[in-house]
Amino acid sequence: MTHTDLATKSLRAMPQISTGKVGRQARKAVFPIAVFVFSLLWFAPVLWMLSTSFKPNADAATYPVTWIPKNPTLENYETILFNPDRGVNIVRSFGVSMLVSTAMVAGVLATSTPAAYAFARLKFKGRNVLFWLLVLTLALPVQMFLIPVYLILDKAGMLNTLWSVILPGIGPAFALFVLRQFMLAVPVELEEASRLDGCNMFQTFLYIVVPQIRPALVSVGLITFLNSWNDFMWPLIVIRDRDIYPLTLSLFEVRTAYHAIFGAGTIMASYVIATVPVIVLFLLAKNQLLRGISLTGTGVK
Amino acid sequence: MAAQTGVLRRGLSANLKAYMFILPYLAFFSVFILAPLIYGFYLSFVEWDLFTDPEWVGLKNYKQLLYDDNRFTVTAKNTVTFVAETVPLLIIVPLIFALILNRPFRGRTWAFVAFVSISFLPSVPILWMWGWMLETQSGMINYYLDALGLAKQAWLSDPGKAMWTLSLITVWWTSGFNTILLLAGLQDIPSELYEAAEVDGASRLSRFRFITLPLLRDKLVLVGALAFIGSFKMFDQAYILTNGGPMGRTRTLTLYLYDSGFRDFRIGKAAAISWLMFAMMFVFVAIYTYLNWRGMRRQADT
Repeated sequence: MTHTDLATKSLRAMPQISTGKVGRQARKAVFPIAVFVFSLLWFAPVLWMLSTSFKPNADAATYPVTWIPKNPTLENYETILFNPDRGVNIVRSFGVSMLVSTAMVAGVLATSTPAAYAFARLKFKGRNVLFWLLVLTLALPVQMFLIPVYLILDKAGMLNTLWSVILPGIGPAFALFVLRQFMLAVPVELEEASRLDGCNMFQTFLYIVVPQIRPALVSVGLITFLNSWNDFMWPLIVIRDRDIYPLTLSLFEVRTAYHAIFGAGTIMASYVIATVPVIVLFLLAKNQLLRGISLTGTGVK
Repeated sequence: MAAQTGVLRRGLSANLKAYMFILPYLAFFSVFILAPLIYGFYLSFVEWDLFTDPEWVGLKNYKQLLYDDNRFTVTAKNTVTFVAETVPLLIIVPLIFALILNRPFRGRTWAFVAFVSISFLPSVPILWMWGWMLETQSGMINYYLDALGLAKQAWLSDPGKAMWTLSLITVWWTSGFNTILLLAGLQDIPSELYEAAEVDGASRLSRFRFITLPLLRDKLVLVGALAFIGSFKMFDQAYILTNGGPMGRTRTLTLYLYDSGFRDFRIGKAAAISWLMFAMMFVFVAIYTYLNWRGMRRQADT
């Protein structure tokens, strides 16, 4: 199975397994309904979050459970978006998270792509040793880096700045590994032709290689973005200053320190604000994601 | 491989150019991966509270953790429990989802979104959402249990239940990513195989047993490994929902490391915990690789 084969597959293109027998017709009719009911139950907590976010705080925490808000209101969103003077500023944190995640994606792609190219295509001294060293470190648990990276950032005077969240995220070789696997599967002829046409190595890389691996860049970028957007532990360790809290830390504080002030409805509204961009991103990219992750998977084979 | 080297000019300048491609990444790798690794190893042999100077104590941190620290033993056991509870489910549930999603039916896209999107959501909202729903007195789950005439449960404060609760929440939360991997694997299986098997009269079950499972093997091994890595480092669930309680029953190794290092400022101890975690993981990986290899050989024999 080559990567281009995979790339032409979409979520829709499924192997049709016909059952053929008439007796199975009934089961065929039940199956979609059963799956629908089950998936609704599975997704219910997210729906519950949405529903609660539109309830006035007075209604939010009361028995009996009501799924459709009786007195739907937008006041929770108003509180979160326009009254940032209650200690936690979700809007600001949203911006911080956006900035951090975007910067990390840019940093990862800008450093890993050329490196992946070198490991996939160029011959140089120490290439294999270096490559296996990188891959080996991928297998190490993240816990091994918490203490020393914290101290290194401390020495560099970067603790409690956004740099301390962005920069360490560029270290792991995950992106490099995936991009290299992808490049190995791209035919080399085009690059050779461009070299013969007088392109130098950098031009070949920029104008021939990069456009060809775009799907992989998008998937790697997406995964990096989501990992950074959702990260809780590392910001918890390195960020102290509330002004630069990423979203996850602010949400945590909304619940722990300001529960009494905010009320369940408002808390849920803040959660919706944090999760909706992820769900939208997911809907936009779901086919891309399926393809990209299957690429990642075949790379490991 | 051989073809592309022909184009390159060999020698020092080719080496130099290649290094220019890897240098930016290598700088980050050296500062944030390689140096911390060496530094962290050194730190596991010192006692240091960040205020005075670090003092070399040899193997003391390790000895203390392994022989005199009941808390370490308990957290290690908790972590293994969590791994043992989640990993099988994080293979089976995604496999069922992937098998469902691999069939054409109405509402498939919605089911895909419902099963998969959850695993991309951030931990704090997801976990507090559950924490709220699982509250003993006013939680929604107990409300429905009550309505069904069943006893209310102390999901997160009963020492016997708390870890299972965290495990099941984790399965709910993270199954989606594994589903994508397995679904991609299922789509790689040529449909001719199933058609041929059907012509031969193979039942649905035997088609699954003799076509799907063997051809999905690589992906299942990968999913198992990812589930293991994810569960072994569990932190958010315990920190956000239970803070290690009740009675320390959900305190995981990562939480213990975090408390030792960033709350108690016992840097050497925390570093030693991280290396012991590495050792544990290494043992697990060795066993897993061996089992996988044996399984592969057995498959080749038959």
